[in-house]
Amino acid sequence: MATYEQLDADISDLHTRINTLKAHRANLSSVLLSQPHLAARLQTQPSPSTSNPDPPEVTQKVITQQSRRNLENIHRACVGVTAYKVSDPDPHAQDHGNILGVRIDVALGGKFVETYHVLLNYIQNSSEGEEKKKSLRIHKHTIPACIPLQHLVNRWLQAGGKDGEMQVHQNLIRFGRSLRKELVSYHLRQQTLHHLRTEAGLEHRNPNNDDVGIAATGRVLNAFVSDDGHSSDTEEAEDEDEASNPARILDIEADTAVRQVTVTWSSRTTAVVCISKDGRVEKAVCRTKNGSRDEALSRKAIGPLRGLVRRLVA
Amino acid sequence: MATALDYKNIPHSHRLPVSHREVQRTFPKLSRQSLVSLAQQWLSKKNRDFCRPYLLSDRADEDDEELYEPAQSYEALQEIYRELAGRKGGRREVLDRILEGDWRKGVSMYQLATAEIQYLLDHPNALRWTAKRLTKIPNARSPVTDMEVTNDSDHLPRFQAQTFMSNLAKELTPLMKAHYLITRIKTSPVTILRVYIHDSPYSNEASLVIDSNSTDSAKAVFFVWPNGSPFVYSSLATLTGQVVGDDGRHLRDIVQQAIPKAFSRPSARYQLTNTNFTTKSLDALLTYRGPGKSNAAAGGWSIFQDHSFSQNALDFITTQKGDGQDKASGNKSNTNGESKAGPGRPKRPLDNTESPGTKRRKEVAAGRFGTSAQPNDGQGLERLEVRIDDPFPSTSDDSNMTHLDGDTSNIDAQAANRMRRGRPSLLDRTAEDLEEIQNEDGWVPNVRVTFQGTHVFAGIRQLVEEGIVDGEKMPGWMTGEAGVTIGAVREGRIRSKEGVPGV
Repeated sequence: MATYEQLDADISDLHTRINTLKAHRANLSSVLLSQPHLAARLQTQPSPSTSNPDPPEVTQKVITQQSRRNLENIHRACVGVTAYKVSDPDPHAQDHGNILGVRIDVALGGKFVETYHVLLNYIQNSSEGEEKKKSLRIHKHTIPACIPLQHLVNRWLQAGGKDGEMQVHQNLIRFGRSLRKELVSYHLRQQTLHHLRTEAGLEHRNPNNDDVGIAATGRVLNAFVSDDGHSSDTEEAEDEDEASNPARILDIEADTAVRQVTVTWSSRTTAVVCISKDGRVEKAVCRTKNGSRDEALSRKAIGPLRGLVRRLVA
Repeated sequence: MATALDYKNIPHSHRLPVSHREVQRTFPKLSRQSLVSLAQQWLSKKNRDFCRPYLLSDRADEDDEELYEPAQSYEALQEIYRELAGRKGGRREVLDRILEGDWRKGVSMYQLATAEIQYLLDHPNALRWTAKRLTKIPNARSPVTDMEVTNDSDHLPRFQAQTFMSNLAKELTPLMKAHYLITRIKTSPVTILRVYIHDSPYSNEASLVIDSNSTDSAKAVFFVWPNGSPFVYSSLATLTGQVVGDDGRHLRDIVQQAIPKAFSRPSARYQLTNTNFTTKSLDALLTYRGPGKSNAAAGGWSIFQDHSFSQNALDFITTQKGDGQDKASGNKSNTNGESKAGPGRPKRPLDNTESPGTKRRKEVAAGRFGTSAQPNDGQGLERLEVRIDDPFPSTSDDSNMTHLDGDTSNIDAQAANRMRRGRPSLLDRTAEDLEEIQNEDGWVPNVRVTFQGTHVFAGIRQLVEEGIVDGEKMPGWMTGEAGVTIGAVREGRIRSKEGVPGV
């Protein structure tokens, strides 16, 4: 029967509506709970009616929970690097499972896009020194592999040299600051890459390509090793473009850390650029179809990453 | 036939006869959908050089017995496969069409390689992978600059496919002939290299054909690089249950040794180091040794990498939390009910009424395992092996006696190990380990624990939830937070190297 689908659609509509209303209610209640002096006002005017089923302790608890949350969030939003305490459930954990967490919030474009954690414990140095010194060590963390965490640790959280003589000199604040810088610049580069792809009209073209059905599972990177003399056609259906239009950008891709970006044109010119951590194109090499270098284009590519497409197209 | 030795790779376009063992092994395993999509890729313009089909123009004399009429052109053939993709049918139909019809004259190395990679992507648990790490060998001359973090420093080995390939070929061609295919996968963030080892001094087509007599050796080796991380996963392409001969293993080791060399540049040398991690699941590898946030936050620490622990700093809503948690725990109990419902188990109604004890155990399990170790998360590790190096818990009065016994038993065990044939296990105690244990007061027996199953940590979690394992006294390595599949336990923790975990 045709009504089955209709009923299903109705039900899913209702579910989404319930969810939006629930979210709305939650939002309103947190706004209400965040009212200044709410607790005091509730105390001074005890509700005369019996309609309020919540005993005063419950309301008190909810209000303190909300105000603590507000304070916490404001602190996090303003500072960016915050610390907290965790306790390790492992019964064999070092230092009785006391763990210091460092939380780094990365904000981009008015939103917090990602949160990273570094969990440190405070342990005895394993070396048999005359007096045992304690130092911070990274226990767990959620930093992606493309961030040089080990290097930052060596720089700021080095716990005594191999000779044992070196002064334990750990600077958690500097560590947190430089780690945050790495993370934020990583996200900024990613965002800029996304902007570049949008600028070149690549972001919304991809879904169409997938519909064709010959969606290859991957891109073979050594397809040029062919020994038979013909040059293999790397681009399909782009050959006719070549003669009439000026070349357009076919693809912009980058490695995970966005330190190296490859731009491919329909005329089979390619440009590979190296990017420094603060998002500047430092080095660039452009090669035309027959393999010769395009010096002028390479020189044009140097500059801030954000304007790369604009500079190359101009 | 050329008889001179040469120094070339095997090109993509060299063909193997359809009856070749490798072809017969690989193609029938693929699904209909994968076969059709592969054929379409082979016929696309850029791959035609490597995958020449049998067309009408190739036909020398009329042969009435042929089952499949050769197609007029590439376009006609593409049309045929598009039509095959459009309708339903059996796998056999497409397989026969490929092997006996359009590619009856042979399947090229390129086709074989892409088919095997396709199978790998369809069945991510088909092979057994070992995760290694590319580590920079410290530069003696400038140890300081190595460790600097500047605006343009780079701490990961730079992976440039073309350079890497030519370096690798330079390392390997004097030793063996090989066919290479390196692919960047679109659906997951990895790059796959397949090396087909051809143990012959020749690289021509005829020598490929002869090579089918050796039956045991695996011919292909896979390497996977997760993008943006220092790890490499390596695997020998074997059938399930196939025993890998020494030859196959030796050839794989040669390729493996060449990999760090191909990565190295002047003044930046790399070596492969072991990371004590072996599994069949590619998904688990990407979680424990991948490019993302989860490498050093396994087990119960998984709450830090997804957002179940840390709310967004602009999320001020506190009241909804309770609802969400209720729902989550409800789901959990449902899945448990399903897995429990087996023969010999109490009936469902018993499960539905949760006693306070079970509820508490579930909470403990949630605290220890976080969001990890769910039975159907696809990240199951099949095997966890640990050696316990802690002294035997003993009463104070008889510790002297047992100490003496312990010494002899350790030596005996070592001697027995040496007598045993086969490769030494990573778990065998080294001389240093033994010395350390001698210094320990108390008896340290040679105890090894192995957990085995489809998803070891989900199993342990279930045991905790059922109350068989005490979730509060359980050591941390049983939750999988150490992120290794083989290790030695000391003072209740898996021993790890100095330095930051998981990078």
